[in-house]
Amino acid sequence: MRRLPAIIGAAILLLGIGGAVAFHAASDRDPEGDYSPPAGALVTYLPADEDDQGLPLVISGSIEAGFMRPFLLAFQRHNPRLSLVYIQSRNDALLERALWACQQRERTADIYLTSSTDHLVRLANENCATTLPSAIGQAAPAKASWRDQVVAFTVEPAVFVFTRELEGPLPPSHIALLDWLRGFPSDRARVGTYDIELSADGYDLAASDSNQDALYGRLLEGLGRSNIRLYCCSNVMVDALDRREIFFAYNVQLSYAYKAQRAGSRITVILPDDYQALQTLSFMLPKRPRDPDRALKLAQFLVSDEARAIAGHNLVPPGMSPKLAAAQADRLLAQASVTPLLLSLQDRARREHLIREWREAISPVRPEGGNSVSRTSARN
Amino acid sequence: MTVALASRLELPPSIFGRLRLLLATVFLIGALGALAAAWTLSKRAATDAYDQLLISSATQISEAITAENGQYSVLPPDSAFETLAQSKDDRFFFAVRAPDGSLLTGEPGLLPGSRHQVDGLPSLDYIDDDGETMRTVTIHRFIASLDTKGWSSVVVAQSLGARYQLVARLMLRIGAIIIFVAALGFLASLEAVKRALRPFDRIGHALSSRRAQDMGPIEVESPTETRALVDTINHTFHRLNERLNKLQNFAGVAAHQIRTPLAALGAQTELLLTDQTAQSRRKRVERIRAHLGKISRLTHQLLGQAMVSYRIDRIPHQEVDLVELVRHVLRDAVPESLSRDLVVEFDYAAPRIPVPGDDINLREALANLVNNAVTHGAVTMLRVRIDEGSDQICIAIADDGPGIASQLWDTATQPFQLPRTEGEGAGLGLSIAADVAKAHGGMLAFAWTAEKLFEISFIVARSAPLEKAA
Repeated sequence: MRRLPAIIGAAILLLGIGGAVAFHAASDRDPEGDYSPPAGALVTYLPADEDDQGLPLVISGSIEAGFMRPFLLAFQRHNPRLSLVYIQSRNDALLERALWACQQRERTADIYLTSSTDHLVRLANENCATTLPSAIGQAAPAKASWRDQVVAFTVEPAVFVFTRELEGPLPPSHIALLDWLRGFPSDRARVGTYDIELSADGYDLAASDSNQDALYGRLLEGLGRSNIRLYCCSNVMVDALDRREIFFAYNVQLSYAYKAQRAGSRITVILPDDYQALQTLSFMLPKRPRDPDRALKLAQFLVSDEARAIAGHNLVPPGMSPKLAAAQADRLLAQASVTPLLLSLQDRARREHLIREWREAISPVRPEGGNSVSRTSARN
Repeated sequence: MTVALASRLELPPSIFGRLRLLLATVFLIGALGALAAAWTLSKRAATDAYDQLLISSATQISEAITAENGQYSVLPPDSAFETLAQSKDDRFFFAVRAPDGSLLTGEPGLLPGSRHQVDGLPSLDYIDDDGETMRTVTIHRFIASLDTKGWSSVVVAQSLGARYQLVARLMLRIGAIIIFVAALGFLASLEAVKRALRPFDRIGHALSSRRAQDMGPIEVESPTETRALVDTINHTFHRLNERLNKLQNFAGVAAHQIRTPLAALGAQTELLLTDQTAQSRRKRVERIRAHLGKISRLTHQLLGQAMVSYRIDRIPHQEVDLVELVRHVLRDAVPESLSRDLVVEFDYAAPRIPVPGDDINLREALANLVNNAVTHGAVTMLRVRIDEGSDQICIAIADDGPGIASQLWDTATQPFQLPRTEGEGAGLGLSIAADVAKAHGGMLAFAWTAEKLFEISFIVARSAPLEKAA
């Protein structure tokens, strides 16, 4: 087991390439064997500041490493002797691997972090989760937790992103967006949004939209009339806006939009004021974590005030006054929810129905180059 | 070990302790029974309530099954998920199958819980999922369209956490009420017992604080329930007092009776020393002998009465045959050689007349009566007759002697009340006989018969007297 850090070191070299990474080919079916991460994973290694205290904490997540980095670094400041490995994979791959490891009693990661909370709720429903102390669930934003197994730590609302060149007032709400889309010349109006078939985040946000019964059909119709392009990920959509490939992106994850703004992208971000399609970001400890004590420490940190401050920072536009920023962060965090209702997102029939409905309304024009179907995020 | 066990099983010595033990046992068993009943009912209520939710969600899902162009499809509605999510922390699965058994949506591992039910009623069951028990409901629904038809099935399974929580919540409240009521009842009963026993403390205190010579009735505030006890105590005091008075009276009279002949005896002895002639000495000795005889008889009677009194109090009654007894008494009391001709008659109704009694006392009493008749009464005849009444037996002793004057009948049975002025005797014979008769539930009665015979009736009860007379 001592050669694990060396293997991780080798894995770091693969960072950015996006190939499948395996620490070690598990040669036996021993549950004490090594962890094999999901296919197509990116590995971020955060070494301990002080002497390494044995094996690193293995975090399997679908959230972009750049988003998680401030959380993990802050956690490491409190635990300087602990090195971390953050294995980033697609949501679906994470779920698939986690279910497989749970059913086959294979070695799992120490903790799962995902933006698709429905995946973790499904895992908990399959009896694949460790029950945490109830204080953790109580400390979560809006006390959002299920069975003290799946616990929210922040939210990711969806926003409208426009290029700066667009003239006239921009729509502040979904209803206004319908009118705005109607008035937008369809020949040059290139609109981007998630390919919900490929992206779990996109599917989650579309499902969130579909709860607005009165609006959802018209929204799909409006988007379908546009010259639409589909993307895999928020960061790719923001890049496409930057390149003027599209002029408007629907349902971009808010933290990516603000991050691009901070980085100088010439975009306008609007948080709709009628309702927000919203993802809850949550964590879960698998049933047989290798290092439950330190995984629990990370869980406790993720619901601490310090982590809440980092989460809040991601939820507000750059340059907002601290008072308004705090109010906006609190308002958004209060919408965090982890309930068994999320299992409806995992129902095959409902999923097929939602995608079919969406597919029938939106006839996409796929962008050239195929980066919309790229399986991994290549930013950083 | 056995000693320790025995001492542990020993009942508390006081009534209060025993009642407390009994009440504690009753209330404990009652409370445990009530808790068990509450547990059963709570469990049933929780099961029924959540079963309804489960059936409702299964129904909602089954109603979403459609058939179009020979294709079955289902879209589980939001409301079904919301219904299932009512049990907030419970895991749930469902599986929807087309009539041909193919899975439309849901968990492949979840199979219909029962064999096909044509009536379409939901069937409930329990399954085990990875060590956790889950409740399942299966609903079959008949789907028909133009080109296809058949029974589709919906199975919904849910873990039991919410049911347990509801039972726990109900039990916490009901259990608290049951324990509170039981404790209240127990304490109230203890207080009631304490109050009920308080008059006994008061009586005990009244008894222990009275002076030794105080024989009057005790004065104590007493509810009707203990009135009888107080009355009995007072009655006992009264009887004891009577006994003591009698005893003092007896001792006084006996002292007086014995002192007189003793003084006379002393005087005669003194005079004997001064008598000169043999003749006068002889006369003197005669007198001394007469005095000694008198003292002897008196002593005999006093001791006899003491014995009778003792036996009345102490000796349990047994069966005595009166015929046999009277025959013995007559044989012993009537001397073979009497200075006069005396005809003795003895009549009895049956060859054996058994009564419960003390044969020594009865013999003493009857001997006294017969002896009296022979010595002081009967001139030519003595007649003894035993009559059987329905509840009493009368032994009538009649003689043709002078008898006792009617005006003395009332006092004749008092000790030392001589019904005659002449003759010897201390006057204890009738008193003894009366006491014995009383102790046997009867009495002594005097009468003149039609033949001008004086008759004393010694009456005893056929059955054991309720109360032993003092």
